[in-house]
Amino acid sequence: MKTKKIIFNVMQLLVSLFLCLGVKFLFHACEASEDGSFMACHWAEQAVFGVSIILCVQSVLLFLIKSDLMRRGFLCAMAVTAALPLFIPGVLVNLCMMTGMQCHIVMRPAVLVTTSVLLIILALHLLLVREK
Amino acid sequence: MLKCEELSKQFVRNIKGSDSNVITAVKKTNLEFTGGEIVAIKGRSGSGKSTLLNMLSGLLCPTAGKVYFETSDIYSMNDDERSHFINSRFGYIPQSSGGIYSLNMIENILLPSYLFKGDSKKVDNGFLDELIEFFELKDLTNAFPGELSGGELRRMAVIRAILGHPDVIFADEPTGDLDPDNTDRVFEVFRREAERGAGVIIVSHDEEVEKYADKVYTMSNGILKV
Amino acid sequence: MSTFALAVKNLKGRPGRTTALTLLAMILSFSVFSSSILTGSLNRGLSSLSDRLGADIMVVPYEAASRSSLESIILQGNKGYFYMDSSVYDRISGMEGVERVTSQLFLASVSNAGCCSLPVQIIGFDPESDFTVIPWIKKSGGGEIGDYSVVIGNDLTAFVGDTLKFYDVPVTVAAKLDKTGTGLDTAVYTNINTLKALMQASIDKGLNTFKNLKPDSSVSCVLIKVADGYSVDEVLNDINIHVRKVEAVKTANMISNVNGSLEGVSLVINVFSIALWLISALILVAAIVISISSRKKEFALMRSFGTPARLIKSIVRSEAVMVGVVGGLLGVLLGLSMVVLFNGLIEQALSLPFLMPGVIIIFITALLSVALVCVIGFISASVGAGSFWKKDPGIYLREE
Repeated sequence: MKTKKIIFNVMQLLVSLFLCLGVKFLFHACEASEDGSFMACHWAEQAVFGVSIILCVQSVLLFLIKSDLMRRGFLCAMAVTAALPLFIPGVLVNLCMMTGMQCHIVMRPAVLVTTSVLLIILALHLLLVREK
Repeated sequence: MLKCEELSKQFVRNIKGSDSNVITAVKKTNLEFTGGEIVAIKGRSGSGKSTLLNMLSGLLCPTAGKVYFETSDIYSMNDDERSHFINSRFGYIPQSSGGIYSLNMIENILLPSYLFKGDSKKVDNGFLDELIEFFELKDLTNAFPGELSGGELRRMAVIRAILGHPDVIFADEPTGDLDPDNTDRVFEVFRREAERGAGVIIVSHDEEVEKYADKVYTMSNGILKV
Repeated sequence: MSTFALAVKNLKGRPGRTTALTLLAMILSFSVFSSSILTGSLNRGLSSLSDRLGADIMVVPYEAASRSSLESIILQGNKGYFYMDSSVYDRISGMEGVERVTSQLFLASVSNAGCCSLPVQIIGFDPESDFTVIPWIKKSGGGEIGDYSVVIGNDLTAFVGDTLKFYDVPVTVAAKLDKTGTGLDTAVYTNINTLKALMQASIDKGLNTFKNLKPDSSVSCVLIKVADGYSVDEVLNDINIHVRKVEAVKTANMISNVNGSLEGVSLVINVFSIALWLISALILVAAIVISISSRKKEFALMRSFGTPARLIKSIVRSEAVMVGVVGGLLGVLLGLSMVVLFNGLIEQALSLPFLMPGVIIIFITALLSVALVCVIGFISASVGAGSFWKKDPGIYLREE
């Protein structure tokens, strides 16, 4: 059981790190304009980056939690945080007007998929802890 | 009760240096069993005793001959009829200790009862509890076969076979994996069933089995002798 | 305990094996579903393009006629504009074999200088003679397009009633067109009067490549519908011979080029999908048959207490179908998330018309994909179980 918890902790950390680094280097928003001004989607990228840092920190903190009761509570809180990136691009923060731009075709789907994977891992982790 | 006429079984095997590929495991056998007694068939490994037991219990189609239970020719039935017949009239304890891997002990024991009889409410729960208590398996009812020892699996198989008060109990090496105390318990239960009117047919290479039996046969090279 | 309950317990009792089989089923279902949706979307995009182009012949300035630049503007919605004298329109209108003729004016907005809401291709059409854009606007639920009103392609995130700005000229969004899966989804359409006003504004701001342009006497292209009884080639040759400094292009050739590319891409998708499907199917069949074979003793034990052969077959088939349903659904879900979420990226990467099917078609495709996996599982289980019944249960019990 302890091994399984560690495995889940590691998976959460890896996915959070992937979201954090990915949104900056892999599936980032559209490049800045020629005059240096940012498009609307840049702020969506920044918001996702910020939330993913929080998720990384929370994943690290989870390694320190021994009690199952605390773990369950922490996982629930983490799930709420992890759900936020689902609503950032295109809902809470606007993206570019043309749906063929990088922010629509790469950043948004990649953020949705990565966040969904993280939520599934959190749900399975919660199930594991509940069953005990 | 149980009768076999001119029963024989041949197998085809690839044997080096032999002119024939046909092995006669059981040669023409005529036998009659009545209820209320424990019959032991002893013999060395490869003598054909398990083959004979499997033919008598409806699990191995003979090459020639017939098996009758009362007036029913077992091998003239179709698969469904014979299965129903086996389920309701026979109890079988296999040689190897095993179980249905994905069911726990109590589910393994009750599975035969679920097949045709509808639900477990028709099971004699009092008798079930008594047997579990008797074989000291009370703490293991939720354990799975992978978590049980050979002896525990053997005892589980015994309970499964006799729970429904079958007319005939077939047991292939029932004392393998068992210590002397549990061996005694198994035969005590067999004796109780025999006194109830059931026939018990045991196959074993263990000479000790003789002391529990009312009748002893010996099997050697496919031939049954008294 | 029902067959279903026993099958569920068997699957839960062997989590490793069940997970492996489910993964195989998932891969199978994913490959069938995704390839169907991808190739279907490509075909829909092509027929949508064919509908959209509408005209038989397109006449453009001679310099603009290089095939790739023309196709990139018309088919991929890339920004570009070119002009010729409007007398070309008058000449062509009077030619033999021309049933209908209309003109269009192109302009492209810019992304800098703050004068434009967004960088798009703007197409002005003549409401009186148009036969390509107006039917499409009507089909999408739009009405007449007044001055300083625009109709936007489906890939632009603006809504009816919004105000956009091109060269500091405000225009109102009057309607949004249905998706075509082509580059035309990023274009903006307006009537020719409005386009001329925007052209003048771009010239006044010094943002137009053609500095000495006269908007009132310019057209970008002339679209022609050939009359019955005349061949497209006849009319096309006639124009190329008699009208100077223009190039007449057959739109069917543009589509056939796209069709050729599409066939190539579809072939590649199908070949890879079939290969993936075959390998997954073979492994799934083998895995199911082997897993049944490894349970011979368990089945023999069940037979020893009177389980009918048909019941054991039923349990094994139920297990295979359950794995098929769960794995199949997971594969469809994965396919949906990949193809639907990333369809913009796929469209851009393929550079081909790409129009996703509607919800009902997707649902039917999903159902068929799951059903196919279940059928394969069922057949595999039947084959695996079938081999078991060739010997009496006593053989397996005796072999211990």
